[in-house]
Amino acid sequence: MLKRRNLESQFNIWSISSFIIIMFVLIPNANILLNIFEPANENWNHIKEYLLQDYIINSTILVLFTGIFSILIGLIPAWLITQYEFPFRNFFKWALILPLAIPPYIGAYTYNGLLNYTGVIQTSLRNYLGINVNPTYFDIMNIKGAIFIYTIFLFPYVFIITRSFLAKQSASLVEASRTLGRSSFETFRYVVLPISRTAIVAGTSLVVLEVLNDYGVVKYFGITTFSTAIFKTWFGMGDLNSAVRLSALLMVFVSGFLLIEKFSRGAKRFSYSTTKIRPLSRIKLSGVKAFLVSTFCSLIFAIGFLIPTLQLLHWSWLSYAKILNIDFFIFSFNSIFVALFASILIIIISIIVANTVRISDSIFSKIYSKVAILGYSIPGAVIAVGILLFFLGLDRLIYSGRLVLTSTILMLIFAYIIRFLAIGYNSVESGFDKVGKSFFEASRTLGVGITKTFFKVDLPMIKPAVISGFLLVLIEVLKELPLTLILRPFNFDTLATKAFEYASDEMIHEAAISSIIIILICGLAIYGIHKLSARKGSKNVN
Amino acid sequence: MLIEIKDLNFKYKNSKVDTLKDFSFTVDKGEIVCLLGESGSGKSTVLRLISGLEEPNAGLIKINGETIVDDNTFVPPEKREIGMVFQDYALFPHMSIAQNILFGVKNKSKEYKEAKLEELLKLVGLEELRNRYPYQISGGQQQRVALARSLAIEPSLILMDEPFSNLDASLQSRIREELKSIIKKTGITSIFVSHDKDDAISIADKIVVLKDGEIVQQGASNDIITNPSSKYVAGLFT
Amino acid sequence: MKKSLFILALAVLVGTVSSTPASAGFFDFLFGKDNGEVNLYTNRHYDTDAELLKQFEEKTGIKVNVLKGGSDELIERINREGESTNADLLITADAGRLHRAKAAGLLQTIDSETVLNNIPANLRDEDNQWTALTVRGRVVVYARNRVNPLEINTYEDLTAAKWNDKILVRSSSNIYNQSLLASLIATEGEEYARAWAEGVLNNMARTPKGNDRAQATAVAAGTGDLAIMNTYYIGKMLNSSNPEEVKVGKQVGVRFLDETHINVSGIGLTKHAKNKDNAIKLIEFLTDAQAQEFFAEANYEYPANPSVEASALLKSWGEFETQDINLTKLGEFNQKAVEIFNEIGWQ
Repeated sequence: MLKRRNLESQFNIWSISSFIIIMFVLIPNANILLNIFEPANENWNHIKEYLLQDYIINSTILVLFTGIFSILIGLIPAWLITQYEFPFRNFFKWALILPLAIPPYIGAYTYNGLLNYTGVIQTSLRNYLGINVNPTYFDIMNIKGAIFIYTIFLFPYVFIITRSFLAKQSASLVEASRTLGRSSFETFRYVVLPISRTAIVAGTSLVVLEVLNDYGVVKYFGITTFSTAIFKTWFGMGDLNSAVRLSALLMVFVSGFLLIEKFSRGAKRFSYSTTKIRPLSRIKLSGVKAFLVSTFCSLIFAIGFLIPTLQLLHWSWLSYAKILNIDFFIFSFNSIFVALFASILIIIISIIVANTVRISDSIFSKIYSKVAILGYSIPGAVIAVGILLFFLGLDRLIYSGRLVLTSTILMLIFAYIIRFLAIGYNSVESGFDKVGKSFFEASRTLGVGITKTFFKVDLPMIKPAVISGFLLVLIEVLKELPLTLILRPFNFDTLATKAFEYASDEMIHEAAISSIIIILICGLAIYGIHKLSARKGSKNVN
Repeated sequence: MLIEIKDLNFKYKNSKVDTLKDFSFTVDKGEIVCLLGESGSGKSTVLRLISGLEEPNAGLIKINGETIVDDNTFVPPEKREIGMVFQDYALFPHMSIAQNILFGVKNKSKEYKEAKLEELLKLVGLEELRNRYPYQISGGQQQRVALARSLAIEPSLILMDEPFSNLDASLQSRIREELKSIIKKTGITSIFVSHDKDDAISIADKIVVLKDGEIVQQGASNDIITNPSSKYVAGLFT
Repeated sequence: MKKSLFILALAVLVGTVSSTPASAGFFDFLFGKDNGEVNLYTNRHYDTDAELLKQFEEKTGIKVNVLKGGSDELIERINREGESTNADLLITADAGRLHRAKAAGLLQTIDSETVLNNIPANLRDEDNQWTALTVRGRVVVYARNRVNPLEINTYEDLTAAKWNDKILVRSSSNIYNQSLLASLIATEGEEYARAWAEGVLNNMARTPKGNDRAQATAVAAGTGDLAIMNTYYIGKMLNSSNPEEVKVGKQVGVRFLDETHINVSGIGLTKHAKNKDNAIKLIEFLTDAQAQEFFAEANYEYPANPSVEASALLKSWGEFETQDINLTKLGEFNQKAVEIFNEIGWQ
């Protein structure tokens, strides 16, 4: 008994910090969600009658088709890379993640600039070949174009998750299928596809959440979706109540999608995982087949990364003289420092909460882990309202008549934490899962306390997960747009807001340099994550 | 002679040492052969090479006089019609027992499939479980499903990778007997891999002992037990 | 060892940020500030604006803090911040938004003779709660090789059967279109405005899409012959770093109409401004002849201060007469205009 009490008292530092953190995450969001229970106003009836149908249809079309296409161009290369040996396979293994380095709104204006009447394609046709094409063929500023943009820049979520699943888990099932006389295609159709279902759903859910949350692309293309509607009702009509109602509907929409998937699995609910992680021995392709597979992967890489990056580099070349001045360096540094700062904080918080959840078995800890990932499924605009109201409330408590906390960099970083805690948390949690609890318990029985055990035993073991979590968060914060636009303090620009400002001012060339820097940093981070995962896994798994 | 293996050489891509060195042996029709050795001796690799899951650096494999691997030939695993029972059984988790067993039966009538399924379920004694899913049955039952599945393609040869390693020690002797009786009933040629002398003694007609990718001794089970050629072999049987 | 390394890294990080002279604001965000400053919420984000504000800082020693964002977002933020708002001034790129801020009770009268003298009455709020800084016209841009500009003289001409399938214009959700229609409601009445909008809708070459530049590009591409757009976009295209856009700019001509509809970017003084005196100084500075020249030219707009001449490029487009209304009307009739667009189905 004495021992147990001792354990709990030691545990307090961790659980108290976790409790405080979770409250801070929960309060601003709860504040907003309580609005749902207020009676609907007149504006809401108007929205319901005339506009809601459009939002639902557009958002559904975007989510549905982006989802399907992301699965197609995410899963197929993941499978090819797992199963076959072909030229540049090792390069594609990480190069096909690179499209994630390009924020969709930057991709959108780059492709529009490339394809429109004054873009390089139509211009070349006109000036060198004398062909005047119908410009509507090249028009991507519509819902089809948005699906294209989302798919090509978000599919890596499906690619990463399914590839790592297939690389580790599929070997003996695939081999069994082959020894039973099934062709590669049949094996893919009847074995790989169904067993990857959980991984596919996990990857696609990320894609869907990003699409539903995105503001930049749909705003630029002029498509009305839930996310533009939330902005419009809140800011354009000044109607927070209806904006929250829309967000709540959006969340119902998201949960509905996840529930349907869960039920459709029905009796076949299983999560396949074998403890025997063994690499699949790859089949060497040669000749036409090797050429086709390499070409297919190259095509995805070119469209998702190479072409937009080259175009942006060209525009940077045209506009650098106007843009590169001392201010540019200042906001580049500001934006990188804030991103680093926020990412470090998020990772520290993730570690504290994840460690608490892991050690404690109480019902609270289960709730903690749900709350920690809450922010990722709430639209950015809604988080922004919640945080603004929260900080205004705090300011009124502290000192009336003057805003001390509101509109500070603290508020923005706080917003980033709520929004992206899920990403850091998931990484750290999976790190803890892999390590298991036995080392922790061994250390405890050897008379070392929780905190010391954490620094001596746990932290060194989960380091790769911590670093990749940190890099993932860094990428997201650097790319972040809606929260930063709404909540940033005075005299504060980031690379993302600057790029968006220029682009929405129709100054595409001027937007290029900021965009290139975002892409460069995110690209490096992606390469870092790839190197890390290559090192920590067994050599063969890659 | 059903299987002829000659001068097989194999090295894994990221490995520095050869896993198999000039490996040769033969199996007669209807024989049950056990490849015995410590882990890392290369015994599982032999199965992977016979089934076509790996491609040897050099050497020859013939089945029924037909070359399936040499310097110019490589028949892919899906064309070899060799049954393989994996160490972790590799039952498809999303398919019922019946679907698992019939997975390899292609281009056949419904009646044929139904009859085949009945026959195999009866053979392995799992008639009641046809609509269950793999995670709903025990390890021993899973192993029998895996065996039935590989028999469904009517292979000329069955390969089994450590068939007993995933089972409770208390069940092993019973399951060994069951497996042996099933194999004997079908009369099929089989090669299995094990690190356990009891498996080899109780099931195999012939034992091939491996060490570091080379054969140290082979022969009828009784001969090897009574006349081990080296300390290593003797050690395996103590 | 590792922990101390981490703390060292953090210290270096913090040190670098705070010691970078130009980012001195970094820690200012953390703590409130008091002396000699003015806080500006603005929807304009041209690099030249920043330069002008720097000149103001040098001249007066008053620090200008800028928060950029969409007009609607900024207005909502001032609204939410209430009495304790940080904002002293609000700049938006159209009169309708300033009116919206005024209607929400977020602005107060700018008490300055200088401003009254600098800016003519029709470019100011009736109660002087906001004033224009720059002026742009919403005009017709035509294909030089296909259209005789003398055939279009009024907005009404755009509804003539002659231009069936020829007119390009962006969507009605755009504030410039809303303000144009609002001005027609103000001058000619609601029925006239509705008939006009229907006439333009009938003559459209395609369903409205893209921004103003895209309309000029579509004229050059031959999708239509006439585009309704703001003047400054032609200036931007002629000075674009993309030679193809310059080409498009040269292929089209600017045609001012009788009683050209104008809109402004303007500045308002917030009701709860903490630095009211400094704020008024900044308004006076920005409406002053010297700043006006620079301010307007940066975005190819016309100065709001009549004592300042427009730039050479703008003058080359010719003189024009403007609608005879107070711009406050644009805000007053905005709601009506949106309703008409929705009812007739102008997307």
